Amino acid sequence: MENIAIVEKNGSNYVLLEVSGTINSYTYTEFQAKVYALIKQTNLVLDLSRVTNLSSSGLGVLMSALDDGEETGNKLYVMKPSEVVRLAIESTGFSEMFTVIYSLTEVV
Amino acid sequence: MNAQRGIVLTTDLSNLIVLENFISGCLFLDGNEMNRAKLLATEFFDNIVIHSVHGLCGEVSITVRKIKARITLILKYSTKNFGKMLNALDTTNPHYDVKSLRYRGLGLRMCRNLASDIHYKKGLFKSSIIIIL
Repeated sequence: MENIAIVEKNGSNYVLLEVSGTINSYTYTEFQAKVYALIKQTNLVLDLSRVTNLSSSGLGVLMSALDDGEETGNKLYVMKPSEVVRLAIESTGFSEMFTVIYSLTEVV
Repeated sequence: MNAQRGIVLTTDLSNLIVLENFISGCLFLDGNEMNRAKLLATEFFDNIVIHSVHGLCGEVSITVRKIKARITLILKYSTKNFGKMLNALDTTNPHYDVKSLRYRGLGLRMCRNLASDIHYKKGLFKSSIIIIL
């Protein structure tokens, strides 16, 4: 599972996960566990600028996290998506569901 | 410029990484083409590994071909349930799966939107998925 790396950082009213590598069926379990645990506690910012591939399994996790955040009142932000991440999100037709930001100052 | 590269992979999810690296090495594709090819090839490979009942051998051959501006991905493999996959094309929609705790059924939707055309060809020994970018 060395093909994905996740660095966790705490902000004032959010947790930032800096993700690098690929999110696919082989690697997504650690990503899923972290995202689901954190979105229940606080706002979550996912820096996806260094993600090299995002499969439908990874997108499925993001969409479920949106639901969880809605239930708990926490917000999920996708920060600086790489081109392949942007393309993957757009290809689902659900891009309007995601809040995309380019700086941590945009976290409300 | 015409170019072609191919690879044969065993049906193991760990080979998703190998496949991504293979597509990244197709330097005849530009950035956007490479990203689309990567998303499409890995989605179909993932689907084959998870859902296909393997026939003669558990291998998938993947070819990336560029002839003038036309880019084609071909996945060829031996399977016993190609028809079942074809049926699923019409019935699979995004849905929440309580077992995996995530939304599923997004892959097909992604592929349909990323490709300009997708053909499915059932062969005597090997079946093919032909994707036109």
